[in-house]
Amino acid sequence: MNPLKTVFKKTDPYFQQGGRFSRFKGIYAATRTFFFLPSPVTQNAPHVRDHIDLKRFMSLVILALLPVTLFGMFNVGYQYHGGAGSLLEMFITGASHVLPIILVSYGVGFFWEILFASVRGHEVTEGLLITGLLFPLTLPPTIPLWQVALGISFGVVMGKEVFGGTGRNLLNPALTARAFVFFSYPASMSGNAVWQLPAPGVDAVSSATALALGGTGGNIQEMIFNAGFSLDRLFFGLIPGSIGETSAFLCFVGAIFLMVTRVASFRIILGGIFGVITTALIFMVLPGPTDTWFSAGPLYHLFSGGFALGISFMATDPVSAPGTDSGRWIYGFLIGFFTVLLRSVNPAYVEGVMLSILFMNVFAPLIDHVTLKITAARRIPNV
Amino acid sequence: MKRLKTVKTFHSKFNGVPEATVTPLAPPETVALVPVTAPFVKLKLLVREKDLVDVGTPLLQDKRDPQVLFVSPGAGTVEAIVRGPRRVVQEIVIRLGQTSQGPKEMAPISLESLDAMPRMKLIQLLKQRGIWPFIRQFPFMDVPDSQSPFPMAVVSLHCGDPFAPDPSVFLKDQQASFLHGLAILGKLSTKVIVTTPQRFLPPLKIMGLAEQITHVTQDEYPAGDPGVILYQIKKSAADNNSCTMDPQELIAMGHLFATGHYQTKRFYAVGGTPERIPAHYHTRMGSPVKHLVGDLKADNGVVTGGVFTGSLTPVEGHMGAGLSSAIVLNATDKDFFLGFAWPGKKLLSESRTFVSSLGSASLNMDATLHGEERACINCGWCDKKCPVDLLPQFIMKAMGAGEMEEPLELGLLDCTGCGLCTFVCPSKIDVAAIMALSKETCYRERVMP
Repeated sequence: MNPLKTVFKKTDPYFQQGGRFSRFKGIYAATRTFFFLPSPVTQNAPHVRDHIDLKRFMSLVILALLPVTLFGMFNVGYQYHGGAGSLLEMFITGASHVLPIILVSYGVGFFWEILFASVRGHEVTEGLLITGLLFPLTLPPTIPLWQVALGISFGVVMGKEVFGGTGRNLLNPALTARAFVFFSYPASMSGNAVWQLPAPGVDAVSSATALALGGTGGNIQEMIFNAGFSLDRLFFGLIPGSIGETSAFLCFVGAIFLMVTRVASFRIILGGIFGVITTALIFMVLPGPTDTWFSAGPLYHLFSGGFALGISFMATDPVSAPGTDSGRWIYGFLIGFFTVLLRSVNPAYVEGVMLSILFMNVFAPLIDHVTLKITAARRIPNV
Repeated sequence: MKRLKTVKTFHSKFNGVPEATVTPLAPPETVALVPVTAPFVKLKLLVREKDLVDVGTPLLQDKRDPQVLFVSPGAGTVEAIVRGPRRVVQEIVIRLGQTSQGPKEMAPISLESLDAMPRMKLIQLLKQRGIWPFIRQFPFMDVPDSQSPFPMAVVSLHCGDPFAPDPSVFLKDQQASFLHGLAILGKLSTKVIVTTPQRFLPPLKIMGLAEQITHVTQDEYPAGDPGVILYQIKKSAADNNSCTMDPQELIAMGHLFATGHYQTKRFYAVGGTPERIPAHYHTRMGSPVKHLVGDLKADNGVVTGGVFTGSLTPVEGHMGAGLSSAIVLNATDKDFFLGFAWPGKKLLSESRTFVSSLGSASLNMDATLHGEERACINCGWCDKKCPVDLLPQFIMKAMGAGEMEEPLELGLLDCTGCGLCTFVCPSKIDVAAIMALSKETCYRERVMP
């Protein structure tokens, strides 16, 4: 027998009802089922069941996020060393700054999750594994750790648990957490000074992201290019920005993996990409300012900022997205539309992805309501 | 012969699918009437233990309509009356042997005299002879209402379940009874629909049944489910009250009318991992499960009925009326070390999250959950499998909110109970059971007095 199983067998009675540590049953069960996925005999027809379960479902999302996370660590170091260090050196520098953020996010997130699970008497669910990793990826590397802790607390408690926990949240918890930090501590989340680790002895390094450019006359595409953000650099992501958002390439690789395994809805992702392309194209041909992102064109919109990360991993959170197929197309398309709209015509926010996803999260139930009515009307009534 | 349009189906392949060979089995010592599959009947017992009964002796009566009888599948002594929860009769076990007066037979009714017979008289005869409960009416799959003719009678020769008996096996040399049965259904309904999956069409054509088959379906489950077929061919809301009948019971009905004798033998398909060869076995209806599957390994259990719709039955139990397959599956609690991380080359899944989805090999299956129940995450995998295009997660949530109009509007009553939504759910929610419960709630609210 697996030695670990023996350990669990021995410790099991302590955590059962009436046991000495029964109040820690939630965290114990979470640990145990992490190592040993239970498979009890089914009680009802159908007695045969698919091997997929939520743990595997969620771990595939984590798997798709891993390259993004690792590259994020590397890129933080790369920006710090200006690309001059050895690969390992840059990675270690980046990891030493990013890992604490991830650990705080997971630690504090799990604290709330377990607290709510224990009080409510349900299992610790796997959704937090994704929230706890996605949230750090949307933050700049210079974020103070206490803000990470506050943010994830707000995201988990107000974004998810107050609605009843996993499966009932209206908004994506990771984005709720980011929105909280974004609006509460704008100094750590916006401007030009937060996207790069400060060199020793320097207060802050000013390094604008591509989206902050514009509004100074001239042609926006030339301006972006001249600032060092050629399309290929934006695509592969060796640029300053939030930890996980810079590499559109790796985000889209993750998206393709999720679409092929059908863990994420391809309708949302393709709808979003389609929305960005159409809207950006329409704005480009419309008479408007040529020196802002209004005229940047579809490719710059696709590859810059957090769109790739957002549409691949945040918008596809099934809980906060619509549940009908046609609804998912509409939802994805409108996320793309609002992203470009916010970036183009709203000078107060240089990045529009977070707000457009949260905005569409709010509208998901309405989209569902309308599409359900249409679907129902098409059926031959059977009442 | 029309080809029906494609529906969403189950694609994975199971190991242990029964071969097309038939082995006759020696008669069992006991047979039983197991009225499990009739959902809403209220049974009244007509016999007591130790009573002598014959084939065709009424054993049970439906309290809602006392004319509806359930008759004995064998002649002998009533050995036991097994009751389930709330004292509902589950099995009436009959030890085969001596009889009281000899089998209750009837005068044969030829096709011509059938034509001349008034509809109500025919129905009365069917009720008397215990055949009526085998005809089921949509949408509740209840014993039918005899007032008006059925708009359609759907006879599906094979529902696509890989463990269901092969129609070319049970129709062999039974064509005459089959035609007689179809003629009776034709008297009861405006239209008779007979369907077969594509792969059984060539042998059925050789048997000379090409003329009777009206529609051809896909091979995969549940394209051949009568409810799915009705969903595809119905033209208006009036068709919702169509009826259906199991093909083997249809043959038995035809046999009784053509010859005057009860057909007491049935073909059973045995699959999974039994100790004997997975194949077809010919034996008495209502045989003990053990008689069919032979000895069992300690870890195994038997699912009787379809692999997605049947339930685990103890080996001492008997085969339910109208059920014709028994599947031996491993049924012990398990756990998988780091189960979420294995590539899963040999793990059966309809999703694409396992390496096994790259190939198309047949895989083993067991009767366990493979995970823990979680909240619905709205992934929509259930509606990707629903053959009648329902959105099970929305119906489930509307029912959870105590709503009844919305589920009906979304087509709840079209649900055929195929079980695929439960099968694929990554949160391990028993969606199919919730749908069944919703239908039951609906039935209780409007049909029951």
